[in-house]
Amino acid sequence: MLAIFSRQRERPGPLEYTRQFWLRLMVFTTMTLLYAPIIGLVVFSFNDSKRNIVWRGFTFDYYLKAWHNDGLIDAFVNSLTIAVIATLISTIIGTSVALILWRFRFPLKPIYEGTMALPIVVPEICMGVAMLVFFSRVGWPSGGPWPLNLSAITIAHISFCFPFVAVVIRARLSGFNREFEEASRDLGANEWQTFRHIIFPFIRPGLISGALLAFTLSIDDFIITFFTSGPNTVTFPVKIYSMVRFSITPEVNAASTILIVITIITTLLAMWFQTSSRFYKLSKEGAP
Amino acid sequence: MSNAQTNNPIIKISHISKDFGAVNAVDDVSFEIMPNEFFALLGPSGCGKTTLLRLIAGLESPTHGTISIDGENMDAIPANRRPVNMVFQSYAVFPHMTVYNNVAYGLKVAKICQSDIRQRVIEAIDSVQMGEYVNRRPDELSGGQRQRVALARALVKRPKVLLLDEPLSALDAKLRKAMQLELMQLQRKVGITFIIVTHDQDEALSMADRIAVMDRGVVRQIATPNVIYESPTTRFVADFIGKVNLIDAHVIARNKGKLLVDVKGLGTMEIFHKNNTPDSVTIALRPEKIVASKRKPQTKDRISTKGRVHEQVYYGNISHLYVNTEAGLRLLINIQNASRSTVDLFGIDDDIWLSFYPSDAIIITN
Repeated sequence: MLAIFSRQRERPGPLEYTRQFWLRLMVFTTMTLLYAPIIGLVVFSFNDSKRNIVWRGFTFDYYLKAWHNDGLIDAFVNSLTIAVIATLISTIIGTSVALILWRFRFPLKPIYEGTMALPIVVPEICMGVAMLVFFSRVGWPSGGPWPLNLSAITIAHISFCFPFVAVVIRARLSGFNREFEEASRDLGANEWQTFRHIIFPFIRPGLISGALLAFTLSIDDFIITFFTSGPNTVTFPVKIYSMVRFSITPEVNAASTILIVITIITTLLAMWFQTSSRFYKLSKEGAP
Repeated sequence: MSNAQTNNPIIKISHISKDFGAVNAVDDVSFEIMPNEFFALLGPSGCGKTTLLRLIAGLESPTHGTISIDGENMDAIPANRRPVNMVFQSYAVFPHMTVYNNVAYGLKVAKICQSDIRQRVIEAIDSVQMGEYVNRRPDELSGGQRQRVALARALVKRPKVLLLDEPLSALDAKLRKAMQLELMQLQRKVGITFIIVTHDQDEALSMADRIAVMDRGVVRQIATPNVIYESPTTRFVADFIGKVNLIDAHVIARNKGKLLVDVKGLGTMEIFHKNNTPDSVTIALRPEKIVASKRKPQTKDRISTKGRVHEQVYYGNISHLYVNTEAGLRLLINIQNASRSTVDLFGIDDDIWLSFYPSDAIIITN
């Protein structure tokens, strides 16, 4: 930070972007806007104070307290269950949609492609209300023992997660050199063998990163979940929201911090899978 | 050619057409390829040669016509069950598999037993001199090495015909020459039919037993390299293969396999040719068939004309001279730079004599 505002000894060259004042200001502003609140949240999760307004010393107490808060743990288990099931199913549906759009030509395909991507742009509040109205109208699924009582939320999550998976895999497939597929057929492989040995390994990084994306979307979703959850089906973000309404204790910060850590780890994994692949290096180079 | 006991063609293409929308990529093509032939499909880009190769492989289905391979009709046989294999232009070596697994792929999907696979794969990899790279991945190989892998991967399937789509176009000039030789030796060793698609006339002339010259979806001529070069039957073939001087001419008399023609700017000459030609023809004259000299040639059997050097292009082993003749023709001729001082012999604006044997002139009818 000091270096950023240190006096410039000589005029920066035209390509020395990192020494230009405006660039430094821009970086500083964006970093502050994005991360100051989050860093504050994380720091104050270790605050030894009930009201959590002034710093009163370091402690892990509130993490322990969160751990012993049954309601919070129940909500966390609910969230994880929903996220895992929604991720699995939306990955399967999303992959199928991407493959259909890539492999086949059929009437009204552009319209189908558009409608598949629509949930990405529809405002979440509208999706939430629509889901609420739909499920209460249909009257199913509701109630039942755990984890069946989570069905409504899970279905809602699948419906907004799979388009993201489809988009990620579709983007990856567009870089696929069709000659790989033709070479496989030419060498005697049938459609299934070609998919299993050639196409699937190619889309696997996209598949994993799409799945991890779906997981992060599902585990931290609040708005749509809020409309589809009942008193017995509280998820982690909804629980945090209800805790905030009573008082903002460091326990809320601790719970939020855990959620942040989970999403950051899955996102990093997703990015790592997307770039670390031999197909990534070779798939385009081979094209004539 | 020892295996070619029968005279049955290995590939029979009859009246094959392929339309892509309104474009006729291949237009009513028929020909046969014999066992053990090294056959080249030659033509400019977009002439339909690759489409024809893909039709043989089964990667495209014809709009009309039939292809049979070794006497068997291929209409209903999909690509994965045809007895042919292909080396793709991009090689299409699977990037997520080692060299070994790439070569073994075609045998694994055919569910051949493990020990047979191992033996055949090692044999195929050795035959393309890639033995030391068995466990490498394609991203650790050069372009030439990837091509060898693609070759081994196709040959290990023991196809009746090997299809090669522009196999040498991505290699640099030196490596290309070396691979040409190697492909020819490989073809003799494995004793199967090779069909190669190329836009490079040198490649086709030097490697193939027979060449089919294609243009706009149509086969213009099928013949041995020698016949294609020395006796082209159409203007397109004469012009596409090598350099050529095309001169308008007029038939004056026809006499038992000989034509007396009046060639514009060069006078009358007698040329062997079948008599049923129209009156208006074209004479094709290869630049290396014309001899340049400082003094008027003394022989009577050569046609000679005087001209002035317009442009000289030096290529090292040869030079091209563009010469304007007195009668207003522009002729291209080759000079062999047989001695280090040859290049100084003919300079721009020099007056020189050109001469050639009438038997080296080719009559082309359009």
